[in-house]
Amino acid sequence: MTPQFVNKVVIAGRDAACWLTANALLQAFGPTGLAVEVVELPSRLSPHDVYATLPALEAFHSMLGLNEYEIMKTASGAYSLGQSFANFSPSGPAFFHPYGAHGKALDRLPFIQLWLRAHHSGMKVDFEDFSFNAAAAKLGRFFIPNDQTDMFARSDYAYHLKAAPYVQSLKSTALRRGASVRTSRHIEAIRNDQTGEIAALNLSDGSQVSGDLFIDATGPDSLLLGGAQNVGVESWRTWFGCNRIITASAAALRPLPPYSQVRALKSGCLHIAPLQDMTGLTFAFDSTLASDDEALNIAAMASQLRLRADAVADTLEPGRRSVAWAGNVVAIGESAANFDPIDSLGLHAIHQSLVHLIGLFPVNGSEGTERDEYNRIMASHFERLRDFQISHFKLNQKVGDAFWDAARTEPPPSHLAHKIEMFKARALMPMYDDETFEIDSWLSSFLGHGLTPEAYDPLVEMLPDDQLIPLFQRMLGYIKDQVQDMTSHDAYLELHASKNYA
Amino acid sequence: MISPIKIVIVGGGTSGYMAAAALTGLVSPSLAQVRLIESAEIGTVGVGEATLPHIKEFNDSLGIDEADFMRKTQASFKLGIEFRDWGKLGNNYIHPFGDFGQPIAGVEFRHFWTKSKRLGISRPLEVYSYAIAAARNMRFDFPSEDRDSIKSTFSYAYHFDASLYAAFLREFAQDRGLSRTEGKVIGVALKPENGHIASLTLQSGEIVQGDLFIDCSGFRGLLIEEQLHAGWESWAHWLPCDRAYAVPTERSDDFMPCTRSSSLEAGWQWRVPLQHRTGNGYVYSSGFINDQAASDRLMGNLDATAMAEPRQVRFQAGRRKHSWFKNCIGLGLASGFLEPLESTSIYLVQIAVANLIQLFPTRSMDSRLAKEFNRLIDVEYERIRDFLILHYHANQRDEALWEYTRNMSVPDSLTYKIDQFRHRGQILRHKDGLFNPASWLAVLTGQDIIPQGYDRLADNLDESAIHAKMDELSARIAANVSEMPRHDELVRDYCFLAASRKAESIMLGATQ
Repeated sequence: MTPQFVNKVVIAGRDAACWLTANALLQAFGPTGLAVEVVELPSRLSPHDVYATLPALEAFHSMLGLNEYEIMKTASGAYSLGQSFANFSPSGPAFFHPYGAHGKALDRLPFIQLWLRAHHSGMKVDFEDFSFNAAAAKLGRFFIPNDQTDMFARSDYAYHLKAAPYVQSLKSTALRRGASVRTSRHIEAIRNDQTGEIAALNLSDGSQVSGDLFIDATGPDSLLLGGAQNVGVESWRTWFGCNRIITASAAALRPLPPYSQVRALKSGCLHIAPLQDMTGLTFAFDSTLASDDEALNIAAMASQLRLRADAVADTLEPGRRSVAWAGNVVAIGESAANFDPIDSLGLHAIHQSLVHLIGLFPVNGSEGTERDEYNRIMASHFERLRDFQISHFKLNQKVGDAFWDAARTEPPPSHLAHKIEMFKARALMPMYDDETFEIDSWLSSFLGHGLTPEAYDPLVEMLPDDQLIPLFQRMLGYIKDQVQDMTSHDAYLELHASKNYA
Repeated sequence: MISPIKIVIVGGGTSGYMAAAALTGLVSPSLAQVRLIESAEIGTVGVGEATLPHIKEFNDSLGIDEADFMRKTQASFKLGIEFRDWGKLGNNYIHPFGDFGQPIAGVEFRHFWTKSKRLGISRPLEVYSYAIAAARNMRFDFPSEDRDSIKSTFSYAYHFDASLYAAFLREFAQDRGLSRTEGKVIGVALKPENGHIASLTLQSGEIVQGDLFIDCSGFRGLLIEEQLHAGWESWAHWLPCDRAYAVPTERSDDFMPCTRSSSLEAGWQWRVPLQHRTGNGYVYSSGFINDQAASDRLMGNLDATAMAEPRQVRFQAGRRKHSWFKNCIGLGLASGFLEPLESTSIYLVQIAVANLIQLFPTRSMDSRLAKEFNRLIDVEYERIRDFLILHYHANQRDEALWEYTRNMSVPDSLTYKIDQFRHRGQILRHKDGLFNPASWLAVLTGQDIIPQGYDRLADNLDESAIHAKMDELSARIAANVSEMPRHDELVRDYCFLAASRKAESIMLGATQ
């Protein structure tokens, strides 16, 4: 047998990227003797930092053997059925991007086409009103999707988690699984001059850690991939105007909304993520339009919340490293791709990276084949995620605001351009490999931002008018009945996921 | 209300009637008026056509009765393709319409197979395929709906007489309002403002106007190429076969539910078993064998009496640069040609028709629909192309053709796939297009590309438990297959006994 090359992985970094990686690798390869050593750098989390997630994290947690209710308790977690987007046009109402599908298709006809036809003939009911998630969110309800709701339309949910205790809990789980850990204030990579690979890391206490494969979880600094391996950044700034970010907090909201809010402001976007015992705020903005102090005031005014005196400002540079894996260094998290906060992609990107790293874990001493495939897949994943984010900026209608005018006039990347063109024609939604967001998410964003298809599928005309309206009435009635029976988000948390919820 | 679009189909072969059947069967006449023009019946080859399982979805979507269709097209069932002498002389593998084993603890079965091979406990991959075991034993039954059953791990396609299938669909479409005209197109008028086709002139003098023209005229592309000049991209440097001889033989005892493809010195020979005869042909490269030798080779290789003289067909591998160009869609051979090595011809027609229905135009003929249509069709062609090239490229034969194809430079996309598989059994998955990982696995391993490594997750499971599971699986397959009906008997019973029972009950009902 060819010897297994990777016997020891060294993870250098901090926070979720670091500890999710340790858990994932130990869960997958611990039984076959893989050693995982973590070089933990000082955390950059503030007590008020919140991880907002996407639905797929639930499955990832259960793959890692993490209990949902335990995590919710530890991290003062709240559920999220989707996101409310407000103020992206001066006149248009807020819209809801649900984590799920809308309505029920009929024969070969997608629901969007049925809806468009009804809309053209004067029906006023919004697309989002055909979503369980949106209907439940608006009433502050929460539900776990079941066979019955799935028969009608797919539903999903995500979380808001307080970052520091979540990471702490991931850390203790990883240590229990056998990770060893050393803390260091900084690291220095020692390269093997012949191979260009990293041989070991020097720690601040003068000791050295060697390994076969190195994970860079150092965040945007990308100390190993960007630093030691000299992998450059492909900047996405041309599509993302925000280059600075302020995080802050306020008291908890009651009742607790089962969704997060995104609000477009003159100089950027404000994100509000409710937790059981506080509310997390993130304001991403353009530093040429506001100073940190001004930005904080803007966030306070727009949120109408009394912000605590704990705000922290940082830089934001959206983009990805041209490859996520170089030599024997794999970057996980912001060291590989740094996303704008819109759509809450941070943990999701980590999770996707780990799934593919496990699937492509090197089988022997020459890992070039795995590296190529990993880099191909991750570039594609990251870019499709980025495209969804760009749709919010590209499609805004805040005419007259310089920040938003620039975002609207910037030509989108080709895949997004094709989607927009096809949607305008007839609400078509071309889908590519490695998409995270499903068709309904794209439809929700495009429609919500006011993009109007010029036509609908002519085959919808085969359905008689007198069938269409009762069909919609039945769907709305069904959603209403179901949502009425759902418990409130507060009650659900109190029952399942709260230590002392008041 | 939208006024109905006038669709004119030119050509009455399989493509023409598949389009006509779908358009009349799935689109109401208030939305589309469909007219088909075909010139007087050209002598049909009648060698039989092999399909992929997707064809069943097509027939089902039209509400076609399977037994009726099989009876009228002399069809047999198909569980895959048997490849003889591909890769090297003496090889024999089947590309099945089904799985090899099932994932264990979330890890694909092939990794356990690779691991067991490395440990020296090597059994052929095919003992873990239910479809292959059935095919080798000349047995067939319908897949079980019980997802947990080994009998649910495959799908099936058909062999049928393509000209009978066209006739079957013609009747179907005519019953649903297809207007059909016998006549030859002698003139085409283009709109001066945009170069779209305005009308066709028939030999009778009739002028046929339309909004959308579907060109099913074959290789020449009467409309899409000869009139609109959509362009052709040749792939002959990768797929050098450019001619075939075809000949029907009498039905033989060998009624395997498989298409057979035998690799020969300058190409390959097909064998398609139908109810009433067997279709045979030799696909060859004229650069490596002359016509007479090819014809002789084919005639010498038959396993039953020939029913006709061999008939020659000429072609070139490639595709139309734009399948949908202006207000014309090329379908079938008018859109491109990939040799029938993996039975993809009818699939390509079907997927184009399905895309047309998804992107159904109105009279305004929005060019954005064509753009998306062409993107989807291009993906289909390229994926199939790479898969076909793999068959030629991965070989150790020493004849000139095979040396050429082994040494030629292949598309980067294929080199990449081969390297990924060889290194660690990685198989790429794509959202669109053929083929699925089981198909790649069958052909790659069948042609001696064996993974050097396997997914490390496979090491998490106890070796003896895995081997017990693998042995149990192959034993379960063998036991289940031995209870399956024979293919020939099932075809006979399904097509004729069931039908006569049905007729009987109708007669009984009438007398009561």
